[in-house]
Amino acid sequence: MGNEIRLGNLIYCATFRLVFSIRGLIALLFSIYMVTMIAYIYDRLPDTFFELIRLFTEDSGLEFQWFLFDNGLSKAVTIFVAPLFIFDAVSGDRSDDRFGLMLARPITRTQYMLMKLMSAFFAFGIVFLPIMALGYPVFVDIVETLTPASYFGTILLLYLLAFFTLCVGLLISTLTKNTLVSFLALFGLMAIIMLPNASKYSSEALEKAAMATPHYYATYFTSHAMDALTYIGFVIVIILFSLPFLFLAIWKFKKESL
Amino acid sequence: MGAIEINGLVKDYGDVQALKGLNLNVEEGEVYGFCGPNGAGKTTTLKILIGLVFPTSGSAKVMGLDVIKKGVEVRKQIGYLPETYGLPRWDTPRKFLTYMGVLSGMTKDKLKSIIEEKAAEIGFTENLDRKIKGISKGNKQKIGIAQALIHDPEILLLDEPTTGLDPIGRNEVLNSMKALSEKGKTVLFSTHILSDVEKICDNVGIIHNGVLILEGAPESLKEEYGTKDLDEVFLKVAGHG
Repeated sequence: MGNEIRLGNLIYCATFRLVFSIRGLIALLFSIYMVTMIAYIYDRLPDTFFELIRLFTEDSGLEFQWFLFDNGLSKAVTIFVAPLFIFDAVSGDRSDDRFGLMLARPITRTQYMLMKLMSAFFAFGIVFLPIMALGYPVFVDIVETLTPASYFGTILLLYLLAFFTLCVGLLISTLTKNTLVSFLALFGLMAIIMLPNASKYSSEALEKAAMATPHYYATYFTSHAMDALTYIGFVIVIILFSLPFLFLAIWKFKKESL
Repeated sequence: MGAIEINGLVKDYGDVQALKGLNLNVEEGEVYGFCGPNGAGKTTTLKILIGLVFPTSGSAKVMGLDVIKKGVEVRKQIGYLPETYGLPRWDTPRKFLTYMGVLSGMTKDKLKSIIEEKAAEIGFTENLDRKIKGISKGNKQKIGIAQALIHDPEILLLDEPTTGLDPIGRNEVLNSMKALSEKGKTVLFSTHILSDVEKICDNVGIIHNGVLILEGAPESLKEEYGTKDLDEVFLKVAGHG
């Protein structure tokens, strides 16, 4: 009696349940595999790793390798890794008959949904950010200059892109009753969202189509010609794309008899 | 003020009316057996009390608080065991109960001692650090009851807590419920096994087709209808006797 719910506690607890689970392990292994596979294919890792260390001591002359980042890592992350943490957030509790356990606690449905979203976001970050930070040498090239700001900026923007994926995933998980259906729906939808980006250099029309997706803004970031204001603008655009999905998921869940 | 007060509760699922103006009162500290055949509306009633299902009309109050308007406050006072529920197979009981405790607003430090205490209280005999998938059905049900008790609620809503258990498991669960009522907890449990009701309940309500058709103390009902057990009472009242 008298226990007050702290959303931070709920998120903290749920995050570590996700990280120390089979899906956390799969996400970790897939992230490592992704980075090392690209390193192997392009034979880049041994030389550029030392160049990365120089980023923080002097001008390294490193430049972001746009092609590998945009067409390789960011799409793989968005399609494969981030959905792992959210696809069954609600549909899993529904199909495993867990609403009676979870929602009989003194929490609101909004708190439940925010706990699901934010724990997935942080769990994804715990698994992915260190791998991305260490694997970054794969995506740089000794051409021009790469600054610490763009190093962290790129990684954080990619991380924020996962927030969009998670919001979409939460909505899909809320609307579906079966975990397999929610996984396939989320996987398929993210693949469709990626398509305009994958082919955006083919024509002006496709590039305009790509601009209708938050993925475009997350992967627009390059090592040059990007001031802080533009960066913040891109962050806002990605969040604005994400919030309608989040609000719709919460609204739908709140009015449902379970 | 009763612990639970339900007035004119109606719940429609499309064309099907699960509850047709249910009225029910449970006093503080009593064990109330909520009986009826499958599909009578027992689970729907409990789900409305816990806020999982929204009623079409009517009102339900717990300790004087409206279950819709004051849902969070109501759930602080209620421990709920669903009829069917999936325990996370790869968790240990300790890990699962910790998670349920955190969801009830408790800190992990506080939960360390409480989990041992609640497990002992309901007679959970297995290792708390063993994976749930290897635990017997009776003990899984006890984990279910333990999660309902973890935040020390005043009222327990148990949906078919003895269904599917062998006689030993059933007896243990019934004894746990009796022990809880002796500590002053209000227990409302649904069942279609009327012999369970006779063993531990102060009062019984029989629901049929969404309405309460009979209410009273088990002994007085048997006396009134001149029967040996509640099964016969139910059959008479439901028109099958």
